Amino acid sequence: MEQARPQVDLEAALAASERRFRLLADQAPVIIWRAGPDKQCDWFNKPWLDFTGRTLEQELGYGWAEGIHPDDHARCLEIYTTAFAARERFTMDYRLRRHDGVYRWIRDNGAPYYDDDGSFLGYFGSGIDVTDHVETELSLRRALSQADQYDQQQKQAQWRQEMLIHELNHRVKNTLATIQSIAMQSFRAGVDVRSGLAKFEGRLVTLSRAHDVLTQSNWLAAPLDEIVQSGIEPFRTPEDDAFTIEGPPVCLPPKMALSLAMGIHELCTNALRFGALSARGGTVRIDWQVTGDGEGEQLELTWREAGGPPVHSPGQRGFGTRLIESGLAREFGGKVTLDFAPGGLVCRVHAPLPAEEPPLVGGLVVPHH
Amino acid sequence: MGRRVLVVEDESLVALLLEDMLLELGFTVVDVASRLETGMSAAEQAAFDVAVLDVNLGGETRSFPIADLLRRRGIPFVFATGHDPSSLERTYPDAPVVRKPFLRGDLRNALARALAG
Repeated sequence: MEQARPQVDLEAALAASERRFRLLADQAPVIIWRAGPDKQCDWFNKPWLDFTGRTLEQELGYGWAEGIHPDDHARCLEIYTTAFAARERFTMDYRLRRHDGVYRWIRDNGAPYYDDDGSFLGYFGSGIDVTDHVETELSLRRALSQADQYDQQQKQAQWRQEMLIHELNHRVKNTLATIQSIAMQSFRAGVDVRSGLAKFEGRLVTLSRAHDVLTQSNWLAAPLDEIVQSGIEPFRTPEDDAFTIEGPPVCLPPKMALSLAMGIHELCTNALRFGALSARGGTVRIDWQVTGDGEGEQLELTWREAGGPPVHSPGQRGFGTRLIESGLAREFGGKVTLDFAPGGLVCRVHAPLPAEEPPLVGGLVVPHH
Repeated sequence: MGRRVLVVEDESLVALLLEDMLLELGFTVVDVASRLETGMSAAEQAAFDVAVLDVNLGGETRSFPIADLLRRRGIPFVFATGHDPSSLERTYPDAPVVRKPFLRGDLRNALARALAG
């Protein structure tokens, strides 16, 4: 009896300790689980069971895993079994289904436990609801990524603007040089200032009109009929229209369009001074066609004067001819012929149409990278 | 006969201008190329003493491959550009730069410098 007494006391003390532990575990504002050395869970505290709304029996073994969100399931089991095999502490976040069916984020800390002589008994784990924390973090991350995206867009817009300004400067300087060229052609030695100025103005206005046509198409391509119109417009009289224009719809690349508009303007000026437009009843017919297949299309444009005074060949090549030749012939590998036929001047332009216009920079087309 | 010049310029009106200015300055224009490819083949084959190269040949095409080819051939050249020439001066410190629109004095001096170089 004397010897048995401490044994009874010990058992009673253990039972009391166990009760106190349970009381503590069930009162704590955390969910707690315990697993044996075989990884199977053998106990859950009351807050856990209250949270999931399930019975202890349902949660035992691997029953608890049924409440884990399908998207987190595999990852959780992986962390759990890996840590367990290595007897390591682990922390993992997962969504656990609450009794009302709502998934809440739980941050679970697991740790191995041992008895006094150091033999492994299993794991204890405790979890807290971190849903608000996780959602804040997620929305913060979303906001950050949005801010980052916005920043990228800003940088892109800024880069694009720089390109535009650069391109605009290039265009302006080239246009100024173009006007310089027109001035040089118009104010030649021996030409009086008044007539030089008239020539200059006519050319300047034609250039400007051709720019209008190109601007309408974002400087990508200009409809040929509009380019022809822009060249002959100042020479047309509504009551007595000398011009006939005929041809299928064709689009020209910008430089070709500018050269052609300027060239047609020069042909008009010459016709007004010496050719069909200088006589009542004189006519100019401009027609064109596109030949060849999709791979190598050719533009064949003809300017044909009739009803003017007798034609004789001028001594030297004028600005118009040079311009059409350099703009169309040289640049696009085409050919320009002037035929001073007795019935009227015939100008034939033969130019391959580029299959695809290379992208322009800046205003016009987004640059390639 | 004056010194022979190759002109590479993609805007036909500007090319005409250069041609006329060079004639007035006493040069002989042997060829005018308006694209990189034609400029390359002219730079490779034509016989000339100096070249005027427009930097921007449309879109994003630059005349630098022609400049490099001329460097290898030992033929001097000047650049023509509407842009700020400072970036050119870093890559091609020896090449004179003429700004668009052109002052004929600038063009004459640039060509003289290139030919003397």
